[in-house]
Amino acid sequence: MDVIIKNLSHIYGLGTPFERLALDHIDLTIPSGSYTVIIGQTGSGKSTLIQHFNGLLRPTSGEVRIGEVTITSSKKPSLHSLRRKVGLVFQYPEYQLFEETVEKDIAFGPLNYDLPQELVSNRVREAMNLVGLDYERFKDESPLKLSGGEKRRVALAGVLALQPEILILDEPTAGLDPQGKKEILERLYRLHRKEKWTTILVTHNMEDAAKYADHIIVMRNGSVFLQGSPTEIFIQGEKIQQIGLDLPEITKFILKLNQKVQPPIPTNIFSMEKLVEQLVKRHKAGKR
Amino acid sequence: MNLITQIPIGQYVPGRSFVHQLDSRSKLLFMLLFIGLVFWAEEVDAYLLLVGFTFLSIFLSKISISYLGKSLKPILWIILFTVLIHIFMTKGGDILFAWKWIEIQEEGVRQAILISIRLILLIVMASLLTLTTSPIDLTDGMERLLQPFARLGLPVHELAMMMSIALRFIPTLIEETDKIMKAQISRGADFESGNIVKRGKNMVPLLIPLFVSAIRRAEELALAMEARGYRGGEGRTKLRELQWSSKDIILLVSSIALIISFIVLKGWV
Repeated sequence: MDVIIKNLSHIYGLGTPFERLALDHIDLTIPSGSYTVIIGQTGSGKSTLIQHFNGLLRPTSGEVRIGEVTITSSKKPSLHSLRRKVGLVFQYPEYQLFEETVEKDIAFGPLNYDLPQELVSNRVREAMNLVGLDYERFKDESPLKLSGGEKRRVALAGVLALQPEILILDEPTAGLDPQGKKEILERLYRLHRKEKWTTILVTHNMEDAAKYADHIIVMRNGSVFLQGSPTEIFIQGEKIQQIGLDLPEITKFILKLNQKVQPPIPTNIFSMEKLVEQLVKRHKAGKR
Repeated sequence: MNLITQIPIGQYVPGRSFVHQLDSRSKLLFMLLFIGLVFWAEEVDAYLLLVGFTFLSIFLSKISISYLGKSLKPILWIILFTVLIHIFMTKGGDILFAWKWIEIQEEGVRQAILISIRLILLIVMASLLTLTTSPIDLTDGMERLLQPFARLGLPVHELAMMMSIALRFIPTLIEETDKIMKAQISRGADFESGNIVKRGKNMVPLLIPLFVSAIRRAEELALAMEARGYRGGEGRTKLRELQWSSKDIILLVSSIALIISFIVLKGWV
C-alpha cells in the first residue's frame, strides 16, 4: 500500500485562541515496501503527520490516500479496517498496557477484529517471538510489573500481532538503554526486509536514519524541508545543521578524513564495517 | 477524534488586557459581589445595568464573544429546562396562551426570560474570570482571601496547593487521555459505538492506563516537591506578591457605583 499525501494541512484548535498550524501544505509519496525515516526537530510536525496515516487525525485541508482509502476533511470512510493494515506504535507505547497478563494485552488488537481464538493465540506467540519475548515465561506476567524494556516489547508486540502492512514507529526506542535500542531496531529492520512491509520511522537519531532508511524526509515548521536518499540528504550537511539537526557521526568522520585524503571517500557509507572495508581496500590499492 | 482541539472551556487565555491585569483577589471579590447582585436584581433596569456591565467587561478583556459563547454550550440544556419549567409552572398576570390544560401566563414568560439571563450572566462572568486569570494567580488569590480562616485551623495553604495542582494537571490528563485513546484506537478499539454497558466496558483499556499514569505522576510530583524542600505552607514565602494597582481601584469604584445604582433602583433612597 502506497501512502500518497496531497496538499495536506492540519490546524489544531481551529476557531479558538489556541489555533496553531501544525502541517503546512505537505506533498509526499511513501512507496509500498520502503523504509522511510522522518526526522525533524521537536514541534516540526512529525507526530501530527504520522497520525494522518491511519486516520487518527483528519486533514484540515488536502488529501491523504492510503492504498484504496482516501481521507479528506469532508470524506469519512470507515477507518476500522484501515487501522488493521496500518499499525501505529506511539512514543512510550508502554503507557497503553492495561490487561492483567501479557498474553491478553497482546491479544487485544486481534480480538478487536474478531479473529478466531486459535488464530489470535498463534498471532500472540508469533508477535512475542518477533520482539524477542519468551512466550512461556512472559505470557502470564502482569505487563505493569515488567521492566521498561520488556514493557516496550509487549506494546510493540501488541501492534505487530495485527500483522499490519504498514508499520509506523514514533521514536520506538526513546528512553531505552543503547543495547535494547539497537536490538529492537535491528529486529524491526530484519522484519521489514523479510515481510516486505512498509516501515515509517520517526526518530531524532541520525545514525538510525542513515543506517536503515531508503528514503529520508526532513521536516521543519510543519513542511517538508528536504527529502531523498540518505546520501542525498547528508551530503547537504550545512543545510541540515542550519535547522538544528546533526549529521551521523560516521558522515562527520568521513568529511573530516576527506580534508586529509585524496581522492575523497564517498559519503554514502553509513556503517562502520563498510567504511573499514573501504579503507582497507584503499590501503591495499595505495601500496606500491 | 481529537480531544486536543476541544480545549476545555474556561482555560486561561494569556493576554495583557485591562481585565487580565486586575489583581486576582479583586476579581474574586468582585465575582462574589456580582453573584449577589445578579440574584438581587428583579427589575428590568437592574438587569439592563448588569448586562451592560457584562458586555463592558467582555470588551475590556479582549476575548472574542464567539469564543465566550462556546462556554454557554454545556449549560444550554439547563437553561432550556428552567425556561420550560417557568413558562408552564409560574402563574400570575394575564393569560397569554391557553390550550386544553396548558396555560401560559405573563409572569411565567417574564420569569423564564429573567432567569435565563441570570444564568447566562453568571456563566459568562465566571468564564471571564478563569479565562483572564492564570490558575496560579487564581489559587494565590484564594489563598490570600482565605488567610483569615487559617487561624481557625483551616489548612488554607494546603487547600490552595491542592487546587493549583489539580488545575495544573487538567490539560496534562486531557493530553494523556487523547494519547492513550489514539493508541488503543490504533489497535482497533472502539469508543464510539454500542450500548451503554458495552461502551462502559470499552472504556477499560482507556481508564486503566490513565489511572496508572495519574498515580505514577502523583508519586513523581510528590518526590520532586520534597526533593526541593517542600514542607507545606509554614514559613513559605511567595515569589510573586499580589499587588493592588490603579486598575483595581477602578474596579472598586465601579463596584461601589453598581451597588449605589442598585440601591437607587430598589427605591431605598
